[in-house]
Amino acid sequence: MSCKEFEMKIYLYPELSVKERNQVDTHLRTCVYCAALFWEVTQAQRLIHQAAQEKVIPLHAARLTGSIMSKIKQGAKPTWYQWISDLLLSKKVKYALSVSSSLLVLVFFIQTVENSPRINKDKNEYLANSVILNAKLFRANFSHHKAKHTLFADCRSPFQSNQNYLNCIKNKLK
Amino acid sequence: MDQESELDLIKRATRGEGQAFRQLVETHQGLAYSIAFRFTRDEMESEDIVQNAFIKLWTSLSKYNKEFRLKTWLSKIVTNLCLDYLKSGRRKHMTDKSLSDEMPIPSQPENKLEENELKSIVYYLAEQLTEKQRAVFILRDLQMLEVEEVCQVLEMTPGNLKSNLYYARLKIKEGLQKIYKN
Repeated sequence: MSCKEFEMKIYLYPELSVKERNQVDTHLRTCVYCAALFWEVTQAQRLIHQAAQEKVIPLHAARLTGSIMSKIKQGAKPTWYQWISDLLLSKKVKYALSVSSSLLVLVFFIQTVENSPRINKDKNEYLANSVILNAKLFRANFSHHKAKHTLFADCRSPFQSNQNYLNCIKNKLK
Repeated sequence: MDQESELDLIKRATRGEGQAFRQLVETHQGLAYSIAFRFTRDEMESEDIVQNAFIKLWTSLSKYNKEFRLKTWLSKIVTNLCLDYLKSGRRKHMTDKSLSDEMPIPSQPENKLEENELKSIVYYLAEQLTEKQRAVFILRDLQMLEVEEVCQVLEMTPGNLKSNLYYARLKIKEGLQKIYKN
């Protein structure tokens, strides 16, 4: 590892792992330039640390607490309102609402599908009844024609002319 | 305050118990003020930022994520308010009025430096840093938060944090050397 690569590690010495620190320490024993840099950085860090020792506290802590609490009481919305709005806006509730609405749509669809065959069934029944009725009427007509056909069946012959066939029918009708 | 009793106070405050929230304010307002003052160097502005931070905390307490410590969350709110303040026109006006562009000159040798003088030099140098470098420097080197906490507060990766911290320390060290050599 080159000195350039060690330079960053020297600045970040407090953030290094034990292994990395050992690497830097080993390098510092053999490199005068990096050892000098390490000393400079340590001195600067000492000064920064010294500046950081400043005790930063609010001059009137109790007054600050009081003004925070009074602002909260004045401006803050009622907690129950906040709770409900948070609840409605929370992701879980959004998911729950979308799932329940999807379920409602599904239930509605299933009911529609279940109801629709009943309507068709009634229609089909009606159609079937009318078909049966028509068939009966047709059969009645057809049976009449059949009887006619049976009556004149022996008049029909491939060896007779049409005139003979008509005469035969006339005879039968007489 | 241990984590368990803090969680209990948060639960009670979420239910609307003002007394529980007051305890949280009393426990953490020192930390919030400390961060705000290190960014702004102004008592009034720091108090305003602390007040706004606690109001934000109160209104969003129900969204509190137990994975983070309240201290870290509050530090994040305060830091964001401070960064907004630094970007604002108010800050510019203050800077023009109260802080000169000239480097502070130490009156005595390094080992006899007065505390106030050293502070003003360090904060002057911190003002010359970029926003990210400055935030990292203040939180890590002046506020002495843990690396992990700084990463959470600034939403940075450890690599990004180290990079910013390296440049911040480099510039501060060079600034200190320049001032003392002069």
